[in-house]
Amino acid sequence: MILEKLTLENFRQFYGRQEIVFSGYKDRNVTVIHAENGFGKTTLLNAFLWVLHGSKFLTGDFEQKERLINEKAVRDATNPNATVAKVELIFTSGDKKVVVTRTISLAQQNVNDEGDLSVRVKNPLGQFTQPANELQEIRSLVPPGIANFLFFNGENIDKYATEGASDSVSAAIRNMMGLELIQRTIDDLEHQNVRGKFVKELSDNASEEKSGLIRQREEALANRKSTLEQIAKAQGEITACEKEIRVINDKLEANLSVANMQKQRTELESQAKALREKIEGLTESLAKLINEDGYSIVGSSLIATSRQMMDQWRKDGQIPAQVLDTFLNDLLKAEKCICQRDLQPGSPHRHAVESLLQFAGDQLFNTAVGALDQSIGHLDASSDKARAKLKEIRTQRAESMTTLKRTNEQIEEIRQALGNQNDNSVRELEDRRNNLNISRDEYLVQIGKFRERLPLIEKTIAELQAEIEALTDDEEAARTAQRQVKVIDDCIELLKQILTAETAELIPALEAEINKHFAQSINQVNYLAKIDDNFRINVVKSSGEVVARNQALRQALSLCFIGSLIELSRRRAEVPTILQGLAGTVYPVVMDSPFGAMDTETRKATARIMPELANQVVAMISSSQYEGGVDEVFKQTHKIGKRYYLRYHNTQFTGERASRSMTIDGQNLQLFKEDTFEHTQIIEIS
Amino acid sequence: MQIFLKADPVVQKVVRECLKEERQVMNMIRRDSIHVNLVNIIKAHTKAK
Repeated sequence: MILEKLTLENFRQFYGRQEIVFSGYKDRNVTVIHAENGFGKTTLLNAFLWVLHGSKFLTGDFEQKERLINEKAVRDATNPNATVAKVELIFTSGDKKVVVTRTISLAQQNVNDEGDLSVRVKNPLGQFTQPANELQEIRSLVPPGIANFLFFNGENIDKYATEGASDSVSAAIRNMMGLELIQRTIDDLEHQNVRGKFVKELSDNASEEKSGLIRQREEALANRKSTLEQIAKAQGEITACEKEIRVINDKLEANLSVANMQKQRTELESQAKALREKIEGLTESLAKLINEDGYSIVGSSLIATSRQMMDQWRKDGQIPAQVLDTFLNDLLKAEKCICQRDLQPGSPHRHAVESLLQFAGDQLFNTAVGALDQSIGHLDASSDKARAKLKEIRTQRAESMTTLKRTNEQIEEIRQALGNQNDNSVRELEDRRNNLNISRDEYLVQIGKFRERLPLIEKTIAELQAEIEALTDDEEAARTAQRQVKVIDDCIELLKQILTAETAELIPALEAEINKHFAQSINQVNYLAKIDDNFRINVVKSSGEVVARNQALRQALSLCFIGSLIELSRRRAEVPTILQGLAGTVYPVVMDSPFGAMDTETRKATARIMPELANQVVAMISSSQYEGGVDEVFKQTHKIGKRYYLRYHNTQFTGERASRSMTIDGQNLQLFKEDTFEHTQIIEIS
Repeated sequence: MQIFLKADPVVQKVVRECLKEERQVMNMIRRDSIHVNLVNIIKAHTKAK
């Protein structure tokens, strides 16, 4: 999606028809709109959201959402049906050019109607045509779940780096990366109207015996589905418990009397978590070692016996062979010994040589003896190595267990101390925390029990499946239905595998992308962003210590996160995957007050990376955020393609306001202008 | 991508067409049309031999 033009007509303070043409050049990809607070930056941002998705998607700070038509236009209205507010957005998406328009008349506004949406898409002949379903078309091009990540107010985006946003962050990631598309396809294929229909057809046309088996398999499948749902539900409950525990932790940390204790507990709990992961890793290494090299450890007595036997045979002169059979056979064939005695058949000398054949070996035998020697030596060495490794892992595991035990005891001491505080509020928080921990453990037990059931269910499904496939159908209809069910089941299985693989690759890719810019954006080279499995974004130092996040840091983090998401989405569109052409596209970012609560230095650092956030960037900036270095950084990037400013018109201005101006690139721009009525004017800076 | 390419060619075709169909309506609440379309895709690729 590359924005071309936004046209406003009587939309809030923008009277008449006004437009912004965005810079579409790759090397000058930034459009800056300079505007003071209250002049209409938020309205511009909301114009994008309204035209695409209607009033439900307007931002929380956009007041009086039900009054979109300009006040003067309303005052002058003679016909409520002809007085309208209109926003039109022209953009390209892939090879499509799209014109989307939303209009609301005064008559519609008076009854809180949504207004009318119109979408036109340019066809290959260059004509603009109406898609079969306009709403579907626009939602497909800019899914509602991601709109707030593309068009946002920088002062509020810090929420994306907070606990409460993980659901919407996860939804946006899944949507932009196409994972939601895969999941929805799985859900629809599994639906009663799709898979269920083919299964019914099969059941109706198959023999009685096969129908019975199909019924049993469907019951087993339903059982598996319900078990997995119960696991997911319990996991959801655990996540909710952990979320509430973190909120309690924050509250305890905010209480000065127990803040240190809570901080220490957070640190200890993080250490305990790391230790548990380490122990888990060591246990896995232990299993791997035993699996791969265990024979050399348990077989050590066998190796020693082999060594003894070899030594004995060597002592007895049996190995290596002293005489080669080829040599003896040559003598017998020539009937002459090397001592010149005749070896004629029946002679005692020939008999003596023939008797040597039973001790003689061939060259292969001697080579084998050498190889055996070498193998025993190798087994000996690997047995020693494996024993040493086993000892090392067991020692490390035992040490970690001891440290974990000690850490848990310290955590328990803090729990006791907090539970015995005189401060009621602390005690209540600690009690609640305690109950949440107990609940979490109960859910963990539940999950364990559900997981124990799964192998048996899977086995039953596989057995029934094999039995069903083994029974041939006489009816063509049954054979066809059987094929259809098989194809649909294979499709579902394939999509599930792809979804698992894609999800596993996504988090590290996103993390790497965020970290390309994050440290630079906050001038902290040793800070790293980390995303956990629940799409929560944390900041850690390179030492691993978790960094407490202030609002400015959260804003920078959220900005980098959005940029990374957009970059991955762009890459997704280019890399050949099953989703090519279906997921991933180029998106712009449109930011109102991108620097939020950042200090001067962070603003400058963020301004430096801003052009890299997306292929196209639109930033609406007030003079207080622009001055103090950002202007200079922007100039150095050479990325500004277009500039506009908003001028506020009113009947009269007094004092300092009347002459206030701002200087952009050496141009002095009047911010206020006397006029016959109040409105805002969009003016391009040439 | 490797997982996909290893699958049966018919399954590959059906999966690709189903995803394409789903892409159009995944953000819509009503699901009736997508169900009918998915059934048709599967039928088209598994006609009686």
